[in-house]
Amino acid sequence: MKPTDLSPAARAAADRQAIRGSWDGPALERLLQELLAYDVVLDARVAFRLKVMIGTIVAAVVGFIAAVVMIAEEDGLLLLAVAALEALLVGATVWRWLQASKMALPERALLMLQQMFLQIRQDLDPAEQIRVNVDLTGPTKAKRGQKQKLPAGAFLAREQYVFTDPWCSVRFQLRDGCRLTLRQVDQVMEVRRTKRSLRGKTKVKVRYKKLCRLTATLLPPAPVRWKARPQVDAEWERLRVANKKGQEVAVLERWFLYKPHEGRPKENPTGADAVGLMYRLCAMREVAAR
Amino acid sequence: MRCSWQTGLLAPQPCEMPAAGACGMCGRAVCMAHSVAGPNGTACPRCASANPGYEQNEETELESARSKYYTQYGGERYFTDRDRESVERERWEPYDEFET
Ligand SMILES: [Zn+2]
Ligand SMILES: [Zn+2]
Repeated sequence: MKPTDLSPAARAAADRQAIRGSWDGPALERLLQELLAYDVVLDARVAFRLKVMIGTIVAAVVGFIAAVVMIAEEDGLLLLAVAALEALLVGATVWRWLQASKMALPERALLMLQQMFLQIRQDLDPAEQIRVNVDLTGPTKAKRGQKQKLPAGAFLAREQYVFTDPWCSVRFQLRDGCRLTLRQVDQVMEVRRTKRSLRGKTKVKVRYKKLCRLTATLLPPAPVRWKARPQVDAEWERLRVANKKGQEVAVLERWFLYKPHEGRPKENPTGADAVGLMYRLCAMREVAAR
Repeated sequence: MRCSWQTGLLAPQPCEMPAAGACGMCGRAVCMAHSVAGPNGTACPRCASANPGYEQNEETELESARSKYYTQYGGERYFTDRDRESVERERWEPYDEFET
């Protein structure tokens, strides 16, 4: 698959790193499928450019040493020119790699939406469009909060940044007239721990934690009598019936916590996690026995 | 006879297409689209998902997901108490629940 194989809609979503507006079910399914395929292409491009960058850096170092050996005493200016050219080349490969990394799409997030819509496609009202507001840029600097000082403990210092990313909001109507909203807000905690090594140097180690809050809201077309509570995990889930403009809605939320051993967290709730919340909400209505 | 299979997951509705036969195990009337062939003869998606030797399709997979969804987290502990402390739920910034 090449970037040029993308449909105009997928192209626009990939460039903007966002999915917005109103969509038909099948069109949204196709879009998510395309973006997932395109993400594989993007990942391969980042990996390739990283290799090129490392190769160029190695070649530059070797080339510079060779230049020193060959031309050092005769022409200092030529040596400077060689060094400048190499620095330019290395800079260009670094820049290209950074550009590619910035375009990456959050695979697990897209996968959640894709699997979810696949499983509920029969339930959607075909006459109604799905309203989508999905931000795929991830926890960028703009979403970063104030620096917080944490108790240092055994370290020289411990600081934390919290990124708040309310990236997902989708709303759709079911074929029985109920409206469902699914929202996800991520909090990424970046903890920087400063340590003194045995040689007396200070070292900063960065750890990440990701806390996702997935919220499903059910708005029935007419007032309903809620049936028995579905099974809810008391620790990690919260179920409430709220009032919106005189009408009762049911809201089920679940928190998910991910702690990768290293690097930025890539995990996300799955499509089954999202459908699971909505399924239990819908089971609260009084419906015909199956 | 009409197919009595419930389609969908969140808003279940009977299929109601003309029945092509009955499930060999539970007797439910099923249409062509909702019958699955296997070792015990024709089966509905529910019986096909519960019995080995039946081909799995979108309907049987939805069926086997149903009970799992309902009791998804029942009794399971995904996190430790220490994780819970780090959640700090109060820190959440308020946001409008119903704004899209
Ligand atoms: Zn059966
Ligand atoms: Zn049928």
